[in-house]
Amino acid sequence: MSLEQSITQHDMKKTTYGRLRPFLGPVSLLAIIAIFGSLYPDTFLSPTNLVTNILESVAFVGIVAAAQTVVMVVGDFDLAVGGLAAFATSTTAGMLTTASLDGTPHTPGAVLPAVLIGLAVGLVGGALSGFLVSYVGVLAFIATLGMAGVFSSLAYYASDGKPVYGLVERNFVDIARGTSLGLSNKIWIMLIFAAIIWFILDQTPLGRRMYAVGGNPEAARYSGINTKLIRMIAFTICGVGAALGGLLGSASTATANVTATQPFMLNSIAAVFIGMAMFRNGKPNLPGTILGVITLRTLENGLNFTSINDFLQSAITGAVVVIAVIPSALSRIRQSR
Amino acid sequence: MSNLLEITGLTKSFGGTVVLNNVDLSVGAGEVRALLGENGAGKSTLIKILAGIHHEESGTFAIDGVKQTFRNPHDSALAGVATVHQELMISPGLSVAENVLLGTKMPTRLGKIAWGELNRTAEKWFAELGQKIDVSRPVDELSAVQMTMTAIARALCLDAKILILDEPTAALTDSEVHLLFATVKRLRERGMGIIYVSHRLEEVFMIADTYTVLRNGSKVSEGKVVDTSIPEIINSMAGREVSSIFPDRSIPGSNEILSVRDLSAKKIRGVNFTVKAGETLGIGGLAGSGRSEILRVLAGAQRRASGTIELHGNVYLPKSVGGAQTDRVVLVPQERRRDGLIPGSILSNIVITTLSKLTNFGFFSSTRMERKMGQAAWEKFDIRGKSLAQEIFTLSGGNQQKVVLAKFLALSPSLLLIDEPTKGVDVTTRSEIYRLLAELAAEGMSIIVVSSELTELLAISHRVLVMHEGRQVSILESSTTTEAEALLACYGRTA
Repeated sequence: MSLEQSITQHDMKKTTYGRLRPFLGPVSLLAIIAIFGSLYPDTFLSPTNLVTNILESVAFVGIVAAAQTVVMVVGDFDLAVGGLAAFATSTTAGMLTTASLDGTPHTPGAVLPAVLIGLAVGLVGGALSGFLVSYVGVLAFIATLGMAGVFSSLAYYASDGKPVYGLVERNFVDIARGTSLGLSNKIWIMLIFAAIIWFILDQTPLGRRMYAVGGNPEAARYSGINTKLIRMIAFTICGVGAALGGLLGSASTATANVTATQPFMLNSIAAVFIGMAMFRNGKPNLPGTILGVITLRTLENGLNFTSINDFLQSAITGAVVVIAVIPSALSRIRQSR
Repeated sequence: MSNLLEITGLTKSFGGTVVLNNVDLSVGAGEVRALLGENGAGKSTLIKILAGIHHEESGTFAIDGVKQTFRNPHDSALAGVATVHQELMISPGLSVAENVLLGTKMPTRLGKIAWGELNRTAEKWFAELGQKIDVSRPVDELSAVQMTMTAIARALCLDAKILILDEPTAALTDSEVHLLFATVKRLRERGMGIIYVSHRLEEVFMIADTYTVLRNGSKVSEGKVVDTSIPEIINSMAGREVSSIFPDRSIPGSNEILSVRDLSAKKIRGVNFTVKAGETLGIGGLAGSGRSEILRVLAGAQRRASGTIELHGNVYLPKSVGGAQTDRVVLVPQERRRDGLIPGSILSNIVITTLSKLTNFGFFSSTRMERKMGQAAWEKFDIRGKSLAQEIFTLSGGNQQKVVLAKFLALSPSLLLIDEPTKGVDVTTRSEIYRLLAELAAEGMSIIVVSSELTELLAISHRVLVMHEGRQVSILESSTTTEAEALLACYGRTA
């Protein structure tokens, strides 16, 4: 048990809600599984559905949400994750495709450099957003909203507005489609990335300083922390995560499609909020985020089995996100009185 | 005839510290009552209770003989209390007239604001104040005194019976002050009751009929202004404290650690002083006189405009708080809640300044080392709480301050800058903090302490530098200076 965890457990003894909070997440996830499981025992509860449709498909958003957690720990949002993921993906795809934009054959480049360049696009893009927010002083909301537009536009430009097909290079698609030790690579990559983020946030001075900046920026500054640099690093990490999530998605479908990354922004932020409501006294935290992503995906998946109109399903997921954060919002209002 | 405002036994405390203790105060119709006291005496808390921002713990207040309880500022306005805060509550971007009528039902025609009528109404209120202002102008274009007038006009149109003016002249020039006073006199003639808060005692004698002095949350004197004098009020404000809570001062060393020459920055001009090893230098003055700015410049939290600073004989130019800390110059900031503490556990606050040292392989945080360090601080500073894991803001003010001290002293400073070390701290913890500072000085640490409490300042420092409106008035030897002399200096006068 880490120090932060023991501290949180102490604080939570204060209220009934505080005492119940650590169980809310797992219990609601189990409740969702129980409800859909009893309605559709053969289909929803089948291993294929639980593993392939839920866990594997959670990997992309899971990575982006883990990255988003870092930015939210320092007290900001990154609305550009979707756009940046698209830009990074189309950059890599342009190098790996077997068909050029004009239809002529194209000799695919080497996989590793192409992937690294994609990740580098994420790093530079994230650092740029971070620089605007931290050193120039533009509100994160505006800066990353603007950058979201810039990155998506560049992504469309790089792919001429069309999905890039023909990413058939084995080494590339195997990143997502292969298995290791009986588990899909997608799940492994998400777990490893999540573990790295967890390690940074919980086990290093850098992460602790990030929480300090998010908790009280002025006090953090007077504590001698370089708050500007810390915020920029958070955005940079987030950019890399966004690119990784996008690349993994395109490896999985052998296609780079700008629209595929669009749900990243809302889903990642929603997942972090759900995680905040569940653990750590309302602070963004990695285990909560991952549980949040899985909960959202399970709900979506379960709703697919029902006869509820597709268009209404998003309304239900949206409502669940809002309801999930109500208790913590209410307890915060009570505390501030 | 009953008074317009009658306060009896008003009491309020924050986190176990009593800030208002059984205070009585009354204001009659057509009376201007000056509310006086040093910083932290409880004036702001009293005003905020009347404005509906804070809630009284016990005690009552009645307006026109009707007992009142305010749940929020809206209740206060409905009961006829209007407050003109030091930071004027105007809405930039809107016109003067809109600002005046903002809290009322604005005149409309078919749902659209009737601009002509709006402006005429606002002009009428300004005329009541003896003012003529183009009310259609954006409020941002007004001068400081005109903005104050706008706030007062708003009070009038809300039909206020009691007007609270909190440091209304702080940003005004002399001629503007006279303009404001003419207006206050008109309001008095209308039968309004006015509470006037100011640090400028001369003004009190020009405008107020009666006065009340608060010290440490209690009323210490009151009466008619004609029956008193400035020195008498100063004595009453300063009071006398039990001197035994202060430890003896050690004798400072002989070598100079810090030398500041002609230092100018935002809010300070041409400051000169030196500090020896083991010496405690106090900085006094009224709030806003530039005291804290000196500390902030030395701590790398604010930029220096000109002048030289030498630390241990070398040029010292801190670029950031972190940079200053590397040179072992450490600032303990004034506002605990705003600048000193981070929501979270006691332990996470104690270790935040030294995270990099508490690591395995210089890379990942060591829970064991952090706990050990937290435990040592817990014992050394005698923090009274449930455990290191307790949420910081559930501690009393005094214990929060101990955590703040623990966190910054962990950096083992050679020059400690400490701003209001005992603000909102109970008397026991106060004496513990004084003892700690005396011990650190005896061990050779140089300390610069800023405080609004002159008793404290004179008792714990060897010399006291007094600031007035950004300039250095004098440097006083604590052992040969009386509190009244120091207070005079705070008002810019030299004896």
